[in-house]
Amino acid sequence: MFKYFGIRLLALIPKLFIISIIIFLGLQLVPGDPISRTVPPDKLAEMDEEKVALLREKLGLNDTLFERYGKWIGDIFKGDFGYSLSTHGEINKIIANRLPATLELAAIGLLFATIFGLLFGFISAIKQRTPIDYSLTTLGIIGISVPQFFFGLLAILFFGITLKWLPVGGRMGVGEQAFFDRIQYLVLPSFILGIVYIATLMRYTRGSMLDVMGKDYIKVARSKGLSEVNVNIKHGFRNALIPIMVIIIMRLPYLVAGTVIIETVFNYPGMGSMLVFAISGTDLPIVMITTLLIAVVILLASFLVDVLSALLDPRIRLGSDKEGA
Amino acid sequence: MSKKKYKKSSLARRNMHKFLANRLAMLGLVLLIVVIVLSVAAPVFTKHDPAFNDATIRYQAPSSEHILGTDSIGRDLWARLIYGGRFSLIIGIASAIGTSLIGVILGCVSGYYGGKVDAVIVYISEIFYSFPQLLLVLILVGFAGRGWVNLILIFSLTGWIFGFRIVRSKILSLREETFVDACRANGIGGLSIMFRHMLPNTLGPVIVNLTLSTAGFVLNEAALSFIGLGVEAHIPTWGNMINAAKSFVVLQNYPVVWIAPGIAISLFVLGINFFGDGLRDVYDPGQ
Repeated sequence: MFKYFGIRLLALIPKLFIISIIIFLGLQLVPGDPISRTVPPDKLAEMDEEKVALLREKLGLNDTLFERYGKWIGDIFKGDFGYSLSTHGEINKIIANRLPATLELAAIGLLFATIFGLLFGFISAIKQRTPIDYSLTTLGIIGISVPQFFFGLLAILFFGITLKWLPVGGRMGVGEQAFFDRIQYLVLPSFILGIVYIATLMRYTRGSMLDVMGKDYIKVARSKGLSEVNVNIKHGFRNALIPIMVIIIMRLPYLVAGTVIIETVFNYPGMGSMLVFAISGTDLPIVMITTLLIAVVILLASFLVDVLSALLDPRIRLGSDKEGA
Repeated sequence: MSKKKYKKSSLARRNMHKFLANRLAMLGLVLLIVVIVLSVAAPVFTKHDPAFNDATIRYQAPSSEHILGTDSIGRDLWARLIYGGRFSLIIGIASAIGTSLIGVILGCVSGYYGGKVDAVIVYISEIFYSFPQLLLVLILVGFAGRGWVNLILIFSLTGWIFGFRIVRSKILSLREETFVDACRANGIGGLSIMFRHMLPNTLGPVIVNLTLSTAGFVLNEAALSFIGLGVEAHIPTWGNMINAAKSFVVLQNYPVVWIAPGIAISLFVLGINFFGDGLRDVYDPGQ
């Protein structure tokens, strides 16, 4: 089995390599002199041509495409992500500030979504073809139809402005550093972030649960005289959970994508709002690094999916020898 | 009488009945028709020009003259809403057709030829598949710039995987059918077999996918325009209209300005999802 995981892990490397090349080439296609992307314009205007030429040489802009790619990827491996064009700050520091914020938001969103998604799906399945089931299913469709940011704006208006229960945006107030002070800022964005996820999980949980409840061993459990609660939870839900675990991880990248919109709606200082800001300001170094980071996260998630599916279903890891990695 | 009835009970007719009996699907169809008619025939339903602004009537409350009132620079909101639907719909539908075309062509080629061609296309599609489309689009907009034409192109280039997967798997199974062998034996060329003989058999799920992906693109357009990376700001689309809510004053004091387009998007997408689910039940009872 470890051999299978090893092969899967190694297969990530060429994918990551291809993605990094695409990102790098994308940057080369952007019109404009690359030096204007590396040196602030006001400083560039002060310099005479000789100095610019010298700088060009120093920055390695006269090298071949191949050499420049090597330098770029080498710097990233050394942990040097370069400088932002708009704020001129070190990208390392910016990310160190913003990554924890996004992780916090995504983790709590995931927690919300998993609890409610599983709960609603479970109820929907054991109450199949009742008004409860129909209304939950319809709510699920509404959840994926109404734009997330529109939900967010409505929530700000209602809970933030009208009722004044929760702050309307941001991550912390003045002097509120502790997690418990920050949690009120997280409630709305993380819940809104989770809505689409809840709807998806609910649908899968319902389907998987119905699948399991039709199996013979459920009939056996019932005929042994076990209570309905016992049958539903211990025998039904536990087994239905197995494919759901895979779905939870598989859909994780979509949760990450959601943070981009949600952070913008709530003015939340995370990676998502940073990316939007960088794209609107054509701050390409930040865009490239963020894209690469996202790619790493997504590929790791897909690796986790493979591992989980293999652990849960022996047919997959045994069949893998024929297919190759 | 009974004979006549029997005769008319074709597959298409039975499917039609099945669809008509699905109340949610019918509700979806009605929603879709209402939104489409309002947008296409926008000039019939309002006498105002969506671009005309009158600074003396900013943020007016709904009245008989301005059904939904006016926005921050005195443009009629109802006019912007129904004219805005045009752009949102064009972007959604054009992108859905674009993705389907790419998906169908690649799916046919990949499924029919198999081997190395198939392996390469599948490898590319897997990379695309693991990325959420919104992120890919966002990054490409960063490189290509905003604008509605760019948006359609980018949506089409990033969204083809779903149509591709459907068509490829269908073609793979069709390849083993006798009629394909018969075609080959008759000396019909590969292209003709693929597109004229096999493709029509895959169209059901492709159409379902096309419908449902329109909803996704309308949502993506709205989200991108909302964060300021979608359609040019001067073009009225639903997303651009909600963008006004980024100003706290509008968000708090003039909710009609952004709630109206929000409801329009929600109803349209809801309509598509209900309608598409109904279509899927008819075309693909197994799912």
